[in-house]
Amino acid sequence: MVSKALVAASTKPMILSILLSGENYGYKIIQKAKNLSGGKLEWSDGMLYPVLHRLEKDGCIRSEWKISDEGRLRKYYRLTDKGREELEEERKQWLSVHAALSQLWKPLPV
Amino acid sequence: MFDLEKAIKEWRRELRKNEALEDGYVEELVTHLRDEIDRQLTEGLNREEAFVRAVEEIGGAENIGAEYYKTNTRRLSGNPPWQTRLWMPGLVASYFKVAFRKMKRQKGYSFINILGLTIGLSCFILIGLWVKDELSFDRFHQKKDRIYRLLNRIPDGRSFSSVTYALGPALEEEYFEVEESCRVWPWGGSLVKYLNKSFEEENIYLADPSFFKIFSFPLIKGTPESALDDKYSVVLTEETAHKYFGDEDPIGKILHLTQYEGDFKVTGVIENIPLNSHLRFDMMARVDFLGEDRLARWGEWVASSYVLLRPGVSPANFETQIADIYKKNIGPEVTYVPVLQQLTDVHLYEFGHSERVRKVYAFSIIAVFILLMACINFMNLATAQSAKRSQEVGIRKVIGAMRRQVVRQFLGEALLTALISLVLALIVVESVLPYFNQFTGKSIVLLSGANFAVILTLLLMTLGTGLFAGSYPSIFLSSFQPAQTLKSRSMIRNKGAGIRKILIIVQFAISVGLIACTLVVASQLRFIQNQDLGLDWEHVVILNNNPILLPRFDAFKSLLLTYPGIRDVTAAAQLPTQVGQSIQINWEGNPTQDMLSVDYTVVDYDFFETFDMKILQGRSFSKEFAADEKTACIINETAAKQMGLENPVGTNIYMAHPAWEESFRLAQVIGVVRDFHARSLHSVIRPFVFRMYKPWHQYAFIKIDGSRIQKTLAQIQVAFEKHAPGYPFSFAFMDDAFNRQYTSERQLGKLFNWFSLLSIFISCLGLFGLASYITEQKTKEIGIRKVLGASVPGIISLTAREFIKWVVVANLIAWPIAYSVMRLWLQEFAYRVSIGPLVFGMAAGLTLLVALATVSYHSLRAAFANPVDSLRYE
Repeated sequence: MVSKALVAASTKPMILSILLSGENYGYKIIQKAKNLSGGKLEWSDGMLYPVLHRLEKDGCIRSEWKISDEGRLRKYYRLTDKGREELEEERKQWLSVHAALSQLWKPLPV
Repeated sequence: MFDLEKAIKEWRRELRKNEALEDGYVEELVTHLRDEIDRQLTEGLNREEAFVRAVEEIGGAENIGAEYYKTNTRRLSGNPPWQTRLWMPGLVASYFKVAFRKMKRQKGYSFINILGLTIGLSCFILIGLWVKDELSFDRFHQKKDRIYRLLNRIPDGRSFSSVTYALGPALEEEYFEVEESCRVWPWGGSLVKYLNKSFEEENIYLADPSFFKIFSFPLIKGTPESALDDKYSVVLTEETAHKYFGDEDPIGKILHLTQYEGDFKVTGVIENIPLNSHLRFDMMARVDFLGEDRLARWGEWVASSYVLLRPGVSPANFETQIADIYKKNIGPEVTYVPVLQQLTDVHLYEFGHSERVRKVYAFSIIAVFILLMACINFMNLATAQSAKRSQEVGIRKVIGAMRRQVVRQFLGEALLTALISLVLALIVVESVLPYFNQFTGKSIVLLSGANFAVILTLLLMTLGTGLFAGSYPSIFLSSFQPAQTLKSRSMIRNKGAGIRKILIIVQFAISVGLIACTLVVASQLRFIQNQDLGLDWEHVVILNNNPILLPRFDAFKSLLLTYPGIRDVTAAAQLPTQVGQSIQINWEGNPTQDMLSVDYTVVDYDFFETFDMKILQGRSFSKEFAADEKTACIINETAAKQMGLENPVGTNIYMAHPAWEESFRLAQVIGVVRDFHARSLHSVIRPFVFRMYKPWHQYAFIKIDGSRIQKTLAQIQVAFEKHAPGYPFSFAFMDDAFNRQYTSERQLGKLFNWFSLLSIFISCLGLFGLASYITEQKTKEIGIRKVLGASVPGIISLTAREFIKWVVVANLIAWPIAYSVMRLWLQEFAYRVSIGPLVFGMAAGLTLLVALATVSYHSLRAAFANPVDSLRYE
């Protein structure tokens, strides 16, 4: 299981990265995140929405109410230019952390 | 059957209860829930299970709401108000905002409140520190609970601290209850020499070696056992030791005390004596030095003695055991009884009477009064202004405030004011303290180091003050009914006026009482100053006699008398103000054979002339009669009266002084001197006998011409240095010595002046605030009256009349109280003024005047205002 602190830190890049492949709505975003991590990332579903709200407030994403194909009203989120920049920044940071850790862990037998 | 739609609806309603979840957010969460339910259903669960699972997945609305709130809020803490911390309940920030806004908008009232409370708290803190210091006397001794001072109680209930030398050792020897005993005698002064250094020491004590075992004066050098181990040993304070020896080790060094012509070895050095010790000395030597036979005497009443009782001994029981010890050792005629005085009471019950402790009480009461007055101001102004705040209370209540919350809000405001005042008061106290210390002769520090107790007390006191001052306004304000207050303001305008009146009257009563007391104290002090004392010591210079001067005194005197500025020269054993010894006398023709206790001193020729004392019968001591120095005595009127003699001249009397030879104890009365006040006016004039006995002359008195004091003093110095080479010349004036007897009264008088001034000031502050409020309320009434033709004086009397009524009632209440308190105080004095109606008249006049002056400022402004302005908006 991934620790709470790490989940919190990774939420933003995770959401932004998921939205990189096109607009999506909350439920799907969570499903994707869960599938990608093989269930190791545990989220309380409801807590995603305040985060989306914050990202929207910060200008990283934009939202729109749409009626889906099943006729259900859904709020779709889309990445903005600022969001892309933020994601790039996040990516750099995560990679540098990753690089550092991978170097340290190299000699360890897998 | 489970209805999914109904369940979702229910869930949505629950979410909406959360304040942070707006409609859009809720909808989004609902769609999420539906998607999740769909997924669960495809996995084969039934509807109900799917719903429960989905709700679990989404999580609690509480936390989601809080997260949303954090994103939206500008609050620093980020915590939504429904999730507040205990230490910062919801509306506190708003309360502070409102409180500061009120202060800013009503600068005048806030100023009056804060100023009043600041003065009140400052007085309270100052007096509190003083009281604390007074009560701390002698408490630093570790065995303080077991140390007692021995007193002699005489039949009329008064006590004296001079017991006989023999008492202490006798108690220690005969009674197991006494662990140690110690005689302590403030012995006097001497010129002290070490190599080429010499100083005039004024404060040399004699004591038994047990002194350092009984009392906790920490020794820096030496041990309690080794200090004072030799008859000619001496212990110094750190400061005194430094004066003579600098950084050298004082132990074993030899000091020469010229007055007693002896060499003393230093056997110990103690830390400097704290100011709150009633035993204060610079040097201490052994009491045995006075001679074995003298110390064994039962008949000489000069020394104070202390005993250390064994643990568990009851002082009351012990007192009854020793009650007859004088009768056993001296004779059945003795009326004195030894009693024990707890060490910690010695300072407060100086000389066995309660003058000091009553001063402590008096000032504590005054402190409470002044603070009370400041609190009353606060209550009054707060309730008076309630009309203005009734709408705020109304709105708060309509929105849902509980009464409890309103009470808390106003209590909080009072606390805030009190806290601001506390800070200001601390600044005031800190800056006044040096003067206060100088005035009271103390060295009080406000916050010494980390004086946790003082800080805690101050905070508690402020809390108490705030709660007390805020109690009535908060209860009063919170009682408003919102419907009424919001409909019209006039309904509550006059509510609480009755209580306000009572509070004002209480305040003025306190002021009147303090003024009356101040006036009585002042007139008694004036009385003391102007009292015909029966002797005149203006321009009398006092010199300390010394062993070199003593045998050459006559030559010194004749030299002095050649100077034109010198009127008379004499000598005596004591200052006339300090005569404390008494002795029993008998006389021929004594009908009862009961001995009479008289005060006595020994004097030189020209004593009565120097002090301008009138000889009523017979004559004064004279060189023309050679026998005067051996057999003559002069008594005062009271002595003659008590001896029952109309013509006492020629009567032989017998004075049983243990230090005199038998032949010298007999004397013949050669004159009667008019009664004089030797001691302070506290005590009744006692019978007095003067003898001549040169060896005991401790002081020289020189009456000089008031018109050339400086020149004459210089001449005296030349003569002194000629006849007493090696002794430093120092002098004092007799009137200073006399006035010192009344320092306590003078301090009391001055402090009373200050405190009554402050109390009047505080009550006027309150009156000023109330007057301005009431006239403000009456602006329209006054406007209408003016339009209808009322005159300016008529309008002024309209507002002033009410206040005058209050002041009159306050006077009526305060008079009897002040009268009885002052009568009690005056009973301390054997000679005193009577309390006339004038004092009360003046107190009444003064308060009326001040009240009128305060009120008329507002009335005048109201009376001269143009009615158009006040009625324009009606």
